[in-house]
Amino acid sequence: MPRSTASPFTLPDEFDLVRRSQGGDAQAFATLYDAYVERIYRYIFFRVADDKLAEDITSLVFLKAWEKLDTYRPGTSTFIAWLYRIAHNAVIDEYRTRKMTVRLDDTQPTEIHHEDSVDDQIDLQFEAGQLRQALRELTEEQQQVLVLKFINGLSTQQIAEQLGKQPGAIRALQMRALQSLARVLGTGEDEANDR
Amino acid sequence: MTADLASALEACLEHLAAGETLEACLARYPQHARELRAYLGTAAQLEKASQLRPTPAFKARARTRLMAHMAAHPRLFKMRMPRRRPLFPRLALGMGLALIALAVSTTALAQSALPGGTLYPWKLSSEQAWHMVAPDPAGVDIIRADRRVDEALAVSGDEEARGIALDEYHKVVAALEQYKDPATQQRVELALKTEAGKLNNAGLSNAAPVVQVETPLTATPATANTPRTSSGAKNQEKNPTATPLVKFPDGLGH
Repeated sequence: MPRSTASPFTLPDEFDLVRRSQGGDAQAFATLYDAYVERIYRYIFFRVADDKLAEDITSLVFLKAWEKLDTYRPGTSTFIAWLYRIAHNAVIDEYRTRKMTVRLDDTQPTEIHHEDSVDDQIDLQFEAGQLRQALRELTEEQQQVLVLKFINGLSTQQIAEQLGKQPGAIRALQMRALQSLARVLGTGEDEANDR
Repeated sequence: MTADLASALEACLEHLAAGETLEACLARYPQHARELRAYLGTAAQLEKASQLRPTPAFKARARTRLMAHMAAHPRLFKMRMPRRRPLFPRLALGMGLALIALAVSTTALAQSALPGGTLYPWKLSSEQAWHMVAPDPAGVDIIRADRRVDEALAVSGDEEARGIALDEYHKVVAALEQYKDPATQQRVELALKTEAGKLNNAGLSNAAPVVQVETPLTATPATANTPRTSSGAKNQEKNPTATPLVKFPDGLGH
């Protein structure tokens, strides 16, 4: 089973880019945007009901980040971890303000950009749509752990820091989340044994 | 049991990431193999979704929007970096404050010093400085004279130290004789009488000044301004008719 290719790398000159951005350098912040927009989009994609909303919130995250940049303290956390927190809050805010009750059946089809073949794109599109639907059956924390761990490639330790929990708690949460997701996807223990 | 399974799941995820096969991993945990197979299969589905990316069109659109937003909302405030003063002024300020603190504490400590002590010269210097800035220099000199007498009494058993105290006392008395206004002379006269009494009581009558009050200071203001000191020989030269206010027994006066 291949692990995620989206390892949570940190830009080598991130500290300098952040400092310059905090000083008002828009170009430096645009470089940070280029580096992290995909990860933020993926994080949000699996937390909301449709692609358009995922795009809107992704865009909003970077606008908010620019406005709140002076509150970020390099060294206390990575810049991407700070962006994840803004993204998480933005998703929560969207649910609160819009009181979204969007049914997944009503949402737009998932548009996947992928460099592989058309068949692969279709497969990925289908699976991502299924996953998004299944993930919405999980608790907020379970969704966060699975997306951060398996889709965005954070380690258990990094997720623990992100969510303010102990690594042991994250491992237990991860197991319960996979258990729930397997049941929702129909790939639970019973189903696995039937294969 | 749950903790075991959670740990086994975490370990399997790490082994798989390191290149181990699923079957090899499940063989490590036969008691959890059934659950682990289901969970790891689900994890694999999730990991496949990590290839999901936003469209280039969206990325470009959002970037353009961000650049426009940044242009419309420039960050006018400066970074919250503490402003550091240059090193030299900070060092100089620190050393200056340390020196002031040292001087103040030493001066305070020196006030109880006795003749012959290490801090005694510091005490005399600090009194001199006090005299220079005081609005009532005569008052300071009266206090200095009283202190010298007290010091002489405190070290009466040490002849050398007592000699130092009395020498200093006589210098102060000489200074006191320079004040010419009647009111000050009256204060000086009272002080010297008190000190003479102290010295006499301590058996140091030889050191006690003899205060001569031949003309009441307040009775004849016209003559009160006349220099009347005996210990200041210069004054006597300037005004040979002056009556000395103070004179010391032979060998002790100036």
